[in-house]
Amino acid sequence: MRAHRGPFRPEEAAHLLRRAAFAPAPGEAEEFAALGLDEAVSRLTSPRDPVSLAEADHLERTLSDSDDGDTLAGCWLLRMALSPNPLRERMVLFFHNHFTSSLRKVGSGRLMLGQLALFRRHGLGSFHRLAREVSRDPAMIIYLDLQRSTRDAPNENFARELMELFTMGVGHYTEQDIQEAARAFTGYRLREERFHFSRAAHDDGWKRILGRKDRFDGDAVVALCTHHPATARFMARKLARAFVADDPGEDVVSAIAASWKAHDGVVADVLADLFRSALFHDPRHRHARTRGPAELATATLRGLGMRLPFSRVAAHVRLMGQALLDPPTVKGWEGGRSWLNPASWLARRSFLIWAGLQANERNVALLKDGPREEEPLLRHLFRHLLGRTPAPDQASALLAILDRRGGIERSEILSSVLIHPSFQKS
Amino acid sequence: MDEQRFTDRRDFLRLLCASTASLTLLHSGVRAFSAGSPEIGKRRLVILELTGGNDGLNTLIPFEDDRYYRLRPTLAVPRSQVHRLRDGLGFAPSLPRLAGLFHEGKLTIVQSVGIDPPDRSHFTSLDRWHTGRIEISQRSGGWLARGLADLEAPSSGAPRAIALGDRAMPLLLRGFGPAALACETLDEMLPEKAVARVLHSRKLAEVEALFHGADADLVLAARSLQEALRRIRRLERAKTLNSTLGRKLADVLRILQSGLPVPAFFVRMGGFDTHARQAAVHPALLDEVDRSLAAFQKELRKAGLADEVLTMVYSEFGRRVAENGSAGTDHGAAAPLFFLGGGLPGGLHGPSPDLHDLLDGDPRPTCDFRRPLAQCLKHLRHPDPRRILGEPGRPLF
Repeated sequence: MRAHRGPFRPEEAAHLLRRAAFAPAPGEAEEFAALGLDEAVSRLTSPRDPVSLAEADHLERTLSDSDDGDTLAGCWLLRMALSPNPLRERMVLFFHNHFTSSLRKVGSGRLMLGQLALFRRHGLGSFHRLAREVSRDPAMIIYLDLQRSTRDAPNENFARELMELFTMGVGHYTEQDIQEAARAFTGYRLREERFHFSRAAHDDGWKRILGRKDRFDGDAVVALCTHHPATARFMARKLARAFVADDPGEDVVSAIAASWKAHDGVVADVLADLFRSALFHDPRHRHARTRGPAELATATLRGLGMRLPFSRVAAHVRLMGQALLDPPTVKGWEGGRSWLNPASWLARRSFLIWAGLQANERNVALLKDGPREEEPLLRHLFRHLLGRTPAPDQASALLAILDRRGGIERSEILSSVLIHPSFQKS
Repeated sequence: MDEQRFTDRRDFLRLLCASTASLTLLHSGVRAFSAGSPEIGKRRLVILELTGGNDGLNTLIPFEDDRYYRLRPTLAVPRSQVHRLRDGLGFAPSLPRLAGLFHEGKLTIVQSVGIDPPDRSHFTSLDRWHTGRIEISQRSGGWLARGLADLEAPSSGAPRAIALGDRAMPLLLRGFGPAALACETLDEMLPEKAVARVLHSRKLAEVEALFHGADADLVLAARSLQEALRRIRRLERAKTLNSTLGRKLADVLRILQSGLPVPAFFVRMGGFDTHARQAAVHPALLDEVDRSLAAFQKELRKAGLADEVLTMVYSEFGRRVAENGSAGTDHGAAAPLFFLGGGLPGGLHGPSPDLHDLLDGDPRPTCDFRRPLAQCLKHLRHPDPRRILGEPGRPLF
């Protein structure tokens, strides 16, 4: 990918952080700009901090027996908001919408959180490894019926989704490939909630898959699929929609696919290439993505540096149309502009106004440390939260509206910035 | 983003929202709701699921069949207590109001509905009912979601469907993304007071008008929806609908009365998995169904909506004919299904269960479960339910 040669000022850093870290925390854009683009990207893509986050770990241990979706999703949102490795959490969200599983079918909060932990460990690493781990993940084994699959009656659910939704995409395999691949995954079982391979239930016969003949087992089939040339482009398109634009151009997809091949599917390296590229920093890609509900909520909490009760945040996210841990179908959420409809728009505004009402000088650093004068404060909030400046007469018009009853509440200025349409975008 | 366009739209919107004219406009936007979309018109669908497997034979009782009494020595309902309908069939003692509706021609009974071959797992059976398919995969999405997607979206921002009583989106509505809503109670969907105060403030309207250029249509639609929700909040819940099920139907009723054109509703009532001591619980469950549905129909009639609103009542399967050793019944196959209102003909349709010709101890399904689902789609003026449900998806009437 051609490298970005332009400046890397706080506004470019903010663009990077909106994509890779949900939103810049107060002061973060300036801090990252000072590092320079190369170092800023390295810090995001090769986090040194451990994966664990003590507070969330504790919460998960306490609550993982719960099967209440809001409680479990709340634990996760806590991580998204507070993690020192935001890109890692961003990739957990990405893969939750790629290798989907649903609490509704899996029926165990512990196993669902376990799957997220798997994405947390491997989401920035090799995609080949990740896909192999996913095929042995207890939640996935339940979700796509692998434990019901026997030599005599192979269940095709996992094999089909592996090819169609997880790796190559339609058009690169046949129904017969699916049937043969299903045989390779027979014998995948759970024992005490852990993966267990039952040799007795496994079909170790010859199989012809994707034009090759062998006594393939499950791992071999995963490798065939993840190494298939179509997978690079399939994953590139998904990454482009997650990190570049709602409707990415083919040039973007091709560039990411080339990087995917060059880095053999090591996600952190592909993302590092992308974040350092001219394409990523092209002005046409600024604010070109619609934030999903979990992203919007996390951007609010990270951006303001503020805490809110997490299961209530999860409830808001659900009403915005994204019941975390419970994607609508195995295809996940469609994303992009499809997030926006009147009801979800109402839910988005309700959340932002709710967040704005909790904000005050004590719990929001942006207000506490921001300029005392109203107009400079407004510009400060615009720059920090939206990554833009108000249109020429917008600032005065807004302050005039807010001032009508005499005196302006600083938190009202904040709320007005949060409901700006640019905040719906990243 | 294009600041110039912002400014143009902004002036327009500021005029729109800041003047009293805008209030009138918003109001007429709300009133336009009652017109609904041209495809569906005023037709609405309410689906009530009796989850757990309702005992069809103790709901619609074959009181002239000796075999029923022989196979159910302790659980059979005595002949004298049955509300007689027709053809040797009668309703359970706790269903007097539904019996009344039957005699008025307002209740349509379809007999022996089920999945063939039956699967006696709750999970599999419910998934089949919800996807409208025998072969289930996690990709199917719901039959109602697929059906509604073919119809024109409701005008002015109404969700396409609302599921009440559970936070999780029921499978039959999955596949839309955010265009369907699921909430425990309607109140959950309405913003809390402090938030609502801001949402309805003139200040916010003006701030939004100042900012929102590209999404102006969305903002206006969301505002009309917000106004409709406010009106719904002001509507009182029908006092006769005071049980757990009743309160959910009362919320459905509030939305219907508000004129917000939501085409479909889903409500669920649990507790029908009566494996033990059935006589102690089943009559009370039916009593709640009877009172709630009768009051719901009465309110619909009062509002002049009885023919527009079709209510379907189903369960994932019926129960075994022979009672078990715990004075209960086990998972079965076919069961009767009910339609209320919707301009259907009323009466009793399909063959009664033949208790001399059972399928592993259960009444045989003679009506494919997809036919009533097709009827629901037909009610919503879906052009071709078979496209959604396959060849078996032929409407009944």
